[in-house]
Amino acid sequence: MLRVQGLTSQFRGRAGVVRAIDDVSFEVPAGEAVGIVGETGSGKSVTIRSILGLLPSYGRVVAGSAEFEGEDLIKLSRTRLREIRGARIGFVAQNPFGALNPVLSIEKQFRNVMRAHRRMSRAELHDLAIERLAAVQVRGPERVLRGYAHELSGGMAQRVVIALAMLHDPPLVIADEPTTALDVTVQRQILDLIDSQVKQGGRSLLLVTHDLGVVAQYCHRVVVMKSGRVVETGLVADVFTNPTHEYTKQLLDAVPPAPWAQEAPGLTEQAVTSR
Amino acid sequence: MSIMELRDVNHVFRRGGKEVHAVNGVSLSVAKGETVAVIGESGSGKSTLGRIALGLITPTSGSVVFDGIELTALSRKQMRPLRSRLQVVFQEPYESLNPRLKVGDIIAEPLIIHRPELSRAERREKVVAMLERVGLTAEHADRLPRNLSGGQQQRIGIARAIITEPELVILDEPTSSLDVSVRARVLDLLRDLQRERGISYVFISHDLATVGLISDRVAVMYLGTVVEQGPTQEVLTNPRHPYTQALMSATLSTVVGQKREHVPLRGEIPNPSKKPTKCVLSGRCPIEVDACSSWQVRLAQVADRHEVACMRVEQEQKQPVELGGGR
Amino acid sequence: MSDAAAIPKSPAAEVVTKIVNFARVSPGIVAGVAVLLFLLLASFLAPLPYDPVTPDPTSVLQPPSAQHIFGTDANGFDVFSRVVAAGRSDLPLALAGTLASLVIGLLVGLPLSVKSKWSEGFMRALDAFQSFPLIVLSVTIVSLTGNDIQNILYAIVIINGPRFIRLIRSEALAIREARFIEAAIATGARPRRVMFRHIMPNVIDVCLVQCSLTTANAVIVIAALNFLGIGVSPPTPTWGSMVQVGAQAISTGQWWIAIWPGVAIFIAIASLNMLANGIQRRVEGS
Repeated sequence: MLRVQGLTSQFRGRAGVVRAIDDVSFEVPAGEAVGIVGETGSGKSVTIRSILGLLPSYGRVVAGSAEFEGEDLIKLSRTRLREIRGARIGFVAQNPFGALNPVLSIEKQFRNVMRAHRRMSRAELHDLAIERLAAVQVRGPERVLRGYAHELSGGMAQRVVIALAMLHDPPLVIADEPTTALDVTVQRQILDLIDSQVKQGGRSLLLVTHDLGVVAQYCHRVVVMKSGRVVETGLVADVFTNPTHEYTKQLLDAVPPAPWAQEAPGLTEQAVTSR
Repeated sequence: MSIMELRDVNHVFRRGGKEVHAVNGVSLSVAKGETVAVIGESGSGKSTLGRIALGLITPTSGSVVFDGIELTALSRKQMRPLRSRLQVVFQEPYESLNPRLKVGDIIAEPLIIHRPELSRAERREKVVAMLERVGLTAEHADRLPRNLSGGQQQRIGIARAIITEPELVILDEPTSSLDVSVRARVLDLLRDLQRERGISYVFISHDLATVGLISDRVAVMYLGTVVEQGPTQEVLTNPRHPYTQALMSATLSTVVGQKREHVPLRGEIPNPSKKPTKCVLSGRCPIEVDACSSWQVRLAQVADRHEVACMRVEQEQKQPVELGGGR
Repeated sequence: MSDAAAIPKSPAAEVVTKIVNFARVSPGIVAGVAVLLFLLLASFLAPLPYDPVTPDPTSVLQPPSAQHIFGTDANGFDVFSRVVAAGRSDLPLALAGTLASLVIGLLVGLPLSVKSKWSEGFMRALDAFQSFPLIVLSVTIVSLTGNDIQNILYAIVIINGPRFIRLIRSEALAIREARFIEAAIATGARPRRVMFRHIMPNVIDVCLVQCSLTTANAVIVIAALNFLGIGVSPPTPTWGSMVQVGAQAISTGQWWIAIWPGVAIFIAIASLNMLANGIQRRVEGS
């Protein structure tokens, strides 16, 4: 579905040119969920921004390719890339309130996203928007459509963003830390929602996260990144049970076991001291 | 012997003309050398509670006693000398350090305020010793906070908090903004310091997994109310309140396939604009019955020192037959 | 980087490298400061071709030539010498006025950032004061109190002091909400310590930007007052009074008398704005 090869991006800064990601390669097979994990500064966000052509003005891709449906996203014109984003690739950002326009009603935003790729009558679109909002379990979709982003809670706003990302039924969904800004009890609901939306449509998912638990529970494959490089990739089942790279081991050891899995005090003691 | 005792603390503040009931009738005690965790999501009132314990906020009602001293009766001025004994580490390591001051000056500040008799050289000596104690070096003293990593910044926050050898430190999500690998080491440092100096901690967090590693007792807060409290091990292995259960099931294990059945709550946290007159979880609770909406929240003992504020649990407790040997 | 560290350098060379590096990052600051310093130093130290305060009645209204590169005015003053020498009074006066406004801004603005009935009341009073056309007010004050150069200083402070107070107060109010202020209070810092040790260093950045803009504004205010004949005692050269003298001659074709002091004002203001821009960019960058 998506094949990234040798992707390298640079940032220009006060200290000169910095290589943000270096020779990043991985694949997202059709119908699978791939998680990119890494800590702050690992380059996980830069990777997807490079793929989507969303790097800030001082950054650029200097080498590599990102092949998607027979085209190299890196080489595409802005116009063609815009056609693909939204229509063929859905994007869910970390902060839903940054993704939604604060001065447009939600319905207007549905209209904008629809009109960017396809013509549809207002009435038809209204019905579709209601249907899609209901599908992401937004309560009172009529009221939400009339309203604005600031009237929504974080979880509801993220549901709206997901509905917008899925509006054109894209075969690939890219999510950048989609639950980091949300409350703990809401996080899992949103993850379950993305999971079911992706599975129902037979879509592929590229999920960027710092939370190893998210990858363990929701992804088939994992790409572990550190300082702009890929240190390990593979099936989650393999990598998490038998990490080959030292850094992956360290990361996994650093995560305390889930509270309900912390049985004896001895276990918890061990979990922290081994690192 | 408890170092801090909160009794029936309520706090209401106004935001944009609306009342916010941030803390409702919370009682909590922290014994010397103990770590009490306060768990909750954003809006649970846990950070407000932390600031009340620090004497930064005077609660609307209730009493806050630190080592026998009633803090709510003190003026800001009277409070100041106590601050060397009662310290805080904040969540955002960078934001809590003055970006214009060098690291050495940041750590020295509590000494300048509380130990004015120390000479510059003595102060410097103490600062360097403290830097080394938290895993940094004397060389870091001349740097600015922005040239350090998040983990190092938090170590400086910790150094500043403990340099006056306080008896109680409020840790307000000290590891939440740190990367996992750094988090474990900062927790280690906090535990070592506690062991060495017998400091008591109030550990405010939203992460039950971290809390399980560091605390002796835990209080789970929701909408300004403690819904469950008890020894950490007991609460984590045998959570009784549906909210605690939901919070626990939301944590994902890194062990593939090790999934806890999700206890879903409906909707999201409502605005704490009214004083709760019914069960706080009412409207979101998976085991709610009609009677819950007229039930006044109160903690009831379910096991040794383990208390839960849930009508359903309370009723089960009264009918031990149905409980079927459960703890 | 490591190469540079390996080769031992003389202290002077090190300073030069530092300035070069600084100039590479912030060319605006270096260029602005350099031009201002040049104007200021030239006004005091440059060997002038003619005495700026002694007219030569034999050469009146001469167009620019080899003898008088900027020409001469109706009284026979050499325009070039006077344009350069005017920097002696105009620039230090602008700087002093700005500095005084800054000090007043800090001393009044910082305490006002503590919210109270009193501080709110003060701000309302300041609103009322600022709603006067301040340049008119200062003209009135200066002309009532006498044609003294220090009265121009008061005029600058009357106009810019309130701006500094307002700016510093609003910055301080924002910084007061910062987590490190709460940390300082939790450490037991007294209000005065919080204000001067924690808040003040963090408003300085914005103050620097405002200072260069204010100096630019002060140059204009001084020129305007001098243009109106306020605060100058002829024959002391000032840019404003020179423009005034020259303005009368423009209609008769002697453009050079008014143009050159005008250009000097323009250069001073442009370099101050460049400086402000450069500082602003550095502040945002960090």
